[in-house]
Amino acid sequence: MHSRLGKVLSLALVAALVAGVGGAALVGCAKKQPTSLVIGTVEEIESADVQQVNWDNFVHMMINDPLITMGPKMDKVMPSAASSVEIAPDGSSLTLKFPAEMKFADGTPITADTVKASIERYIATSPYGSDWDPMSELVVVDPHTLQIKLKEPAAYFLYAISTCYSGIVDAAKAQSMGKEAFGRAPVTYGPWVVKEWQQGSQITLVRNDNFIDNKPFVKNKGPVAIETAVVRFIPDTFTLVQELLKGNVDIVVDVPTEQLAQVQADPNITLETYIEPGTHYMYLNTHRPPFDDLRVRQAVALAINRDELKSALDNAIIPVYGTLGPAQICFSQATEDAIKAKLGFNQAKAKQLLAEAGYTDTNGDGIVEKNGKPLSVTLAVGSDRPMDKKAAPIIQQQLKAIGIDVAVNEYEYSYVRQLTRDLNFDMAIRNVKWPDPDIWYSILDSSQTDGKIWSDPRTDKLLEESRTAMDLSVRTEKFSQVADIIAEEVPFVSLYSQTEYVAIRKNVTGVILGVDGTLYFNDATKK
Amino acid sequence: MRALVLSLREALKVRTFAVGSAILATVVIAAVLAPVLAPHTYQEMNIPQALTGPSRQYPFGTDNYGRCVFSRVIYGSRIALEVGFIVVVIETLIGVALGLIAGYYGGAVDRVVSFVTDMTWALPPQVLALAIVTALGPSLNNVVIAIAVVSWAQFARIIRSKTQALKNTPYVEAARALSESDLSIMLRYILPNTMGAVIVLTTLALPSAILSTTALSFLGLGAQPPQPDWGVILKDGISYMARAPWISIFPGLAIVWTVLGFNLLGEGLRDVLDPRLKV
Amino acid sequence: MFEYAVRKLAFGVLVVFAVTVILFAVMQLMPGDPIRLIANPRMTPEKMEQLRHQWGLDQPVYVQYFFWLARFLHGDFGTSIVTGQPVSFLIATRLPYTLALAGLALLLEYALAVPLGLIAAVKQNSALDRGIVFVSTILWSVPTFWLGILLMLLLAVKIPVFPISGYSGPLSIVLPALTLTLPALAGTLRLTRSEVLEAVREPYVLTAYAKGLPSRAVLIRHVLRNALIPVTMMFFLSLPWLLGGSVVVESIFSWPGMGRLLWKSIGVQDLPVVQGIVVIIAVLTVISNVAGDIVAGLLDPRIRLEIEGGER
Repeated sequence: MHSRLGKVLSLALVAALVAGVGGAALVGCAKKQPTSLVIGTVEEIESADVQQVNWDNFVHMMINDPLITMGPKMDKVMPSAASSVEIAPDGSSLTLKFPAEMKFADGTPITADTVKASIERYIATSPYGSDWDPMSELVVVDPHTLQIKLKEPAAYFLYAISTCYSGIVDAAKAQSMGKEAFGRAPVTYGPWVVKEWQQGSQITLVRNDNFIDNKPFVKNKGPVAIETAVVRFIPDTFTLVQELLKGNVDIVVDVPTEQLAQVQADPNITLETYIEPGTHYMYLNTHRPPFDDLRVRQAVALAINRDELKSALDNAIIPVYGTLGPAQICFSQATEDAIKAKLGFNQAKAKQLLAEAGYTDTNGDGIVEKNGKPLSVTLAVGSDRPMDKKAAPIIQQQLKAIGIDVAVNEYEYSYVRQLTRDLNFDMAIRNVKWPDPDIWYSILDSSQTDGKIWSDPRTDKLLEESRTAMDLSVRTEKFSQVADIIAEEVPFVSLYSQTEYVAIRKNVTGVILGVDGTLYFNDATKK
Repeated sequence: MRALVLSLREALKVRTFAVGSAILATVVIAAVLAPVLAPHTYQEMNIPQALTGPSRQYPFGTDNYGRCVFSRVIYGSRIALEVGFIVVVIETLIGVALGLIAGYYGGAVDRVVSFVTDMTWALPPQVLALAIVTALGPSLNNVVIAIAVVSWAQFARIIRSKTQALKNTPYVEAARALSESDLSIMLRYILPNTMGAVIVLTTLALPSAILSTTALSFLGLGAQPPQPDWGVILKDGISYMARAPWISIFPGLAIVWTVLGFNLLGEGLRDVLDPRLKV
Repeated sequence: MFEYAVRKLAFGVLVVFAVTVILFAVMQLMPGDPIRLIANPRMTPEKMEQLRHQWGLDQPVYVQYFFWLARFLHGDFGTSIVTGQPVSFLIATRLPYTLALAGLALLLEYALAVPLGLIAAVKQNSALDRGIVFVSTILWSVPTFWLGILLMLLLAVKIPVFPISGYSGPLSIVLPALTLTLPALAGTLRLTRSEVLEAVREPYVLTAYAKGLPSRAVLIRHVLRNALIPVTMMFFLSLPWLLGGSVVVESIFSWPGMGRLLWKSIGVQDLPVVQGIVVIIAVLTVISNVAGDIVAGLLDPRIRLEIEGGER
């Protein structure tokens, strides 16, 4: 008996020990890292191969040098991986030249054919192959020159190929390695390449010693100074900030505003800001009551006090009244001011509009009713969108002030998006984050998925016209007209653009921050 | 019934029970008298006064919207108790009913019930609850459903084994001989003898339900704004720990206080009613 | 006994499959599908439909389940819809971390709770006894994520003993494991304590004293041996709970385990991943439960009789 219990106890102890120690042994000892740049981010990459992902991540920015760049000020087209960019005067083609000595990190030379194969793989593999729809033909003029022929001029195309999605990959290796292996350790062209991806934990990148960059605004056009970079995936923002303050993480993009003061107060950290190139807006379901009534929609728009929102949200937002945000291309201050004059905060007018629509408070409970039914709606907001999440209760209160009862429901943002696409919502806060306003084509055009939430033949026409306009002022005018129509019909209420905070520890210098949040590491060093 | 009252009197002599009751009394009072005790409503915002520390106007300080943390904690006791009670009532009803049926009838019925019970037991409760609430949508109602579904198994198991032991006792056999209906036998003879265990299990299931709700709140699946659920206030308060520690400390303490009360109550009851009960 | 074990395990296999069916069904309650859920607005509707078709998401639900089941029975866990990586790879790289965490937490729990429970019983009703029970009860009452954050602040930030998060060496596992262990101490501690107290009152203990055995020998050879029977049973039954608790703990400490992946995958309905992880966890749970039952039978002759004697 005694021995039996003893045996079982020992067995149990051994089992736990094996699980514990064995597990720890399996995962390996700590690797001593050379002084490397450590970046902390909340989301883990889906795949290291940018041509397979649904969402790009910081990591992709570091291992994929785009073909061209719009630069830190997003003002003009400049060479990046390509050594020169020429746009035909009639906008019908784009000619890219590449340096003769361009190579992948493993020494494989990169020619125009390599680039062409990479683009073709992108079109075939990526969920966003449609980025290249405007292209009619890829012509290899000579081993180092690629001509991109376009079906018609497309200004938005330029932006699409200036992101990490246009990074050159070794399509031949992709084919031989297979999609899965390539997704773990792709052969890419960029300042760093993937060395090792510890699932759920971090990804280690090593310098590409064959890297040549042609961006005119960086001093160092060769391999970067920092040999190793590690991107750590830390899902909890509180923990992320703690690691930053401790010095275990050098850079954090998207510092949570709650802990901003702590980070700001730290003498070893520099805090930079940029305005998010996009907007957050509140969709109103025009397909069913109460928001099928324009007056009710207008009332909601007029009830939102964005200044109050701003002070409640730590001044980390910039109120937006029109459709485009101040950091987006084609933003027009004049249009923004005009719409603000029309749809700015006006509580009295909001109440009046509700009354005109037949809603009055008959029983003194603060909520208006019509035909005996109180005006109660739901507001869907993303629990993983911290700013929207914080704004929702305030919006709830502001609408209550004009008599609308709002129930806030928090879901994962992807689910909120799904609800709007299913037309299963009353109000929902969504956002766009893309510097080129052509993203609004994807949202408003009746041919697109989100177009069924709301579209209008007038905006369809304007958006399609803007796609082929190469002149910035013409495009700006078109988008202003779109904004005017939105302000007229109020299918959604624009709320704000976020101010984003990037924290960089002071021992890392030379990082250039672009207006769209892109970090350029060419000149960066770490002590 | 009389035996129960006598037991309760005995119980009060046991220190854990007494302390537990005292603690819970405070929580119940807070819940019942919330409108009287709370200086503000739980949703009124005072943005200029956001993130201020405890003061006479705001005994527990304010959160990032300028809402009174003290008022929110007081009103939160209603949510905690309500959710706890509803979950446990559902769990108990299902678990006891299934346990009785499985234990009494045995055979195929027992095997079916055991299979269903084992299924909810085959995944860790947190994981299954997570899946259910995610699928049904985040709301306190769905949290209640999810927790009840994953937790009835322990009731069923224990009541089943007790029923099995009791069904062969003389008075049950006598009742059967007298052609008393099965339902009547279960309710008149077996159930009262399991009451001790049921009460202890129920009392100890409450703190578990509250903590499960809190864990689900951390994952964003729980009360929706502006409901002052303690778990939600605590979770949101953690990001402000450096600037405004009062936002997280007080709801956290409220949770510990309440759960502790139920634990002590349950332990005290167990000592009196059914000391051999293993939960 | 052997027959019993085999029967229980076979039953367990059935239960695991039933669980996969139920989870599959539960996930279908969520509207949309992974493609629609994660698609950027830039994705054209045509592309969306193409991808949905590629993944078989336009098939009826039961067809999708049977395809999954068929592949699974051949040992193929399928491919993650979101990452394009094999599910077996995603799980294999994370499972050791979750097991290590739960295993260590379990070990710590018993290594602390059993001796403490013993001490509390031996010194019954003393200040030490009451203190031990009280502290463990308070620890049991603290929400897991708060405890984790507090431990992190105290032992990793304020007093930098342990790493804050992630895996960077054996020290990294301590705080996450403690977060799981401390609340669980109370249950095991109380159980040990009450079992020892009961065992001490048994007649054979008195006999042992009467025989002139030294007190310590009595304690260890007779009291502990019997008292620890239910405790040992609980050992096996505790693992599932610790596995479940890992979702929250892994999130706070960026511990690269399966819990975090499961949470994310449920949210975007990446069904192959969810099913794969659920199967693994269910198998572990069923094994733990069956092991607990078998151990109970091995150790406690009363239970063994019941098992082997069959039901009347």
